[in-house]
Amino acid sequence: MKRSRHLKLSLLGVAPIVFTACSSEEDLTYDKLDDCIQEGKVTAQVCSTAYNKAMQEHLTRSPRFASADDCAGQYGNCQYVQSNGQSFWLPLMAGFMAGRWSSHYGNTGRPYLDTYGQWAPRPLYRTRDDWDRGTYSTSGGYTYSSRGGGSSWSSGGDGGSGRISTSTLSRGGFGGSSVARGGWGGS
Amino acid sequence: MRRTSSPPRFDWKETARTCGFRFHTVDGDPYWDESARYEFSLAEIERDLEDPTGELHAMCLDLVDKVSRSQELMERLCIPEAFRDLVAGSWRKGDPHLYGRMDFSYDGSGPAKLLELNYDTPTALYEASFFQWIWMEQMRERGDLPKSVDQYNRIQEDLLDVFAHLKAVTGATGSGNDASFVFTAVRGSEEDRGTVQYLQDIANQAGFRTRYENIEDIGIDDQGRFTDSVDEVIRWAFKLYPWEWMFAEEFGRQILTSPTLWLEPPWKAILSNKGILPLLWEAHPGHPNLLPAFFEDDPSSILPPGWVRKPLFSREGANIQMRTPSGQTISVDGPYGDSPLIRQEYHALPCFDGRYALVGSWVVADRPTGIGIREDDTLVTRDTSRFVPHVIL
Repeated sequence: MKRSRHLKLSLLGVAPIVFTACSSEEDLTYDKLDDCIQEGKVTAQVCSTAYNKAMQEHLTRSPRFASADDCAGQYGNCQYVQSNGQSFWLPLMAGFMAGRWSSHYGNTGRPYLDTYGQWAPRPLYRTRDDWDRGTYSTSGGYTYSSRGGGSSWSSGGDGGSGRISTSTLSRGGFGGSSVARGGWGGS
Repeated sequence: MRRTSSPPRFDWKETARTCGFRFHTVDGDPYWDESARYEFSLAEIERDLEDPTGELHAMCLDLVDKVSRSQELMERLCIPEAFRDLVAGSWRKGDPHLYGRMDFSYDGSGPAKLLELNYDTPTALYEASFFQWIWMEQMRERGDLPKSVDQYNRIQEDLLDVFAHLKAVTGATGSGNDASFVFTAVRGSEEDRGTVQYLQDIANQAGFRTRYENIEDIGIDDQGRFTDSVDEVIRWAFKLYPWEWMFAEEFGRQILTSPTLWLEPPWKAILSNKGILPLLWEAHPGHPNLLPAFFEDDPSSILPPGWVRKPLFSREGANIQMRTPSGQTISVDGPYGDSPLIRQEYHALPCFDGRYALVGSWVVADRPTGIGIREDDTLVTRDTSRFVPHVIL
């Protein structure tokens, strides 16, 4: 089934159509191929396919640095590589993404492995910040917690989620372009 | 893929009213049109739309990464110098994003061709994710569609997923002591207001306290923090308002220092820009889902037949100039005449029963998740184009 099973809206005054079953989801990130196989969430075949894809991408598309210092400054652990007459430094592959696993999917009730976009198999690295936080990064800048997903929003802003009251000095500093262009923002 | 006439539900206006769908008729003309429907095979959906959307999305994120590391590319995309660190930093930190819509020309045969990306302020969301779904469920229940019918539409489920994830990572509790997730749009646009209210509803379901503000009512305090109309610091804000406008406006500089976390995040400035189309073509020349596209170095030159010119920043089909292979010129006026241009190979929208159809393919939570189809009597899809539901048979 390609559609949502149940939808509801509350503010818009729509009663729940059907009650939604709950499902748990996690990002399958592993340090090593063995860890993936041992855990057994997905088959060994899925693990090794993902690992091989990640390794291949690591060798062809990982961040490259001209100097050891530049690489170490960002990633800590690096390796020296010579290839096609060029030499450079690469961060060590710290792990790999095997996909996102859902305990229930749609109305099938079956576990489901999602390997699109952010969950496509790929190499994972650890920047210096990642070592501190226990997270992984992709070369594209995504951050994943070692297990369970992560994001800058967890440490973003001034932290915390409580309300803060203040006094407003001025308003009206946004919205002018819309008036100038006839009043709409969406596309 | 085919277009077929479809009996409108006798009570669809009443249903729209109870579902909060207020913009189904725009200036007296129908916007929601269920007198027809598009029918797809599962293979058409999966092979021709879902899979390419996933692949193109990954290609786009790769490009965001590349642009975020290059002053030269940021310059090409006209991202103002003062905001380049903000944009790049937002990508490097992994600021989460919600959604995007790819617009395809697709007629059921051959590869879908990407015409545009709408990754900052996409609309036609509610009607694709919710009202289209309700239409299909009711039609099934009443026997007007076979029980086995399906629809490519997990959009709302995936939206809820993103907000649930955000709630988990922000530590929001949903209690009265929490800050509000502030949802903003321009004052006075019923369509934008409806889209934002819909997302607010989903954030609410995910457990956030939420609040709506007109973007004009956002304020600033003495520490440079954005405030809402009840003088609370805005921690999290959703904006249905383009980044390039925010950068240029009076409060633009405050974005650099304020602690507010934004949906969409600043890195979306890279993908909401038509300059991404020539960059995609340059990185993946000949890709079956891409059309040749280039930056227009001489905007005053005469557009040769078979090409389309689009401003880097433009919305809802405005300021598009089109020259068909036979030499016919179609121009749409608009307020974006001040922007640099790109040139993209002309690719006619498919014509069904005299209507030109555009497939909007949604990405939510980094996954391809569903489609919405809009029709126009002309070759350019605009804000007045009609939304027509679809099914998988």
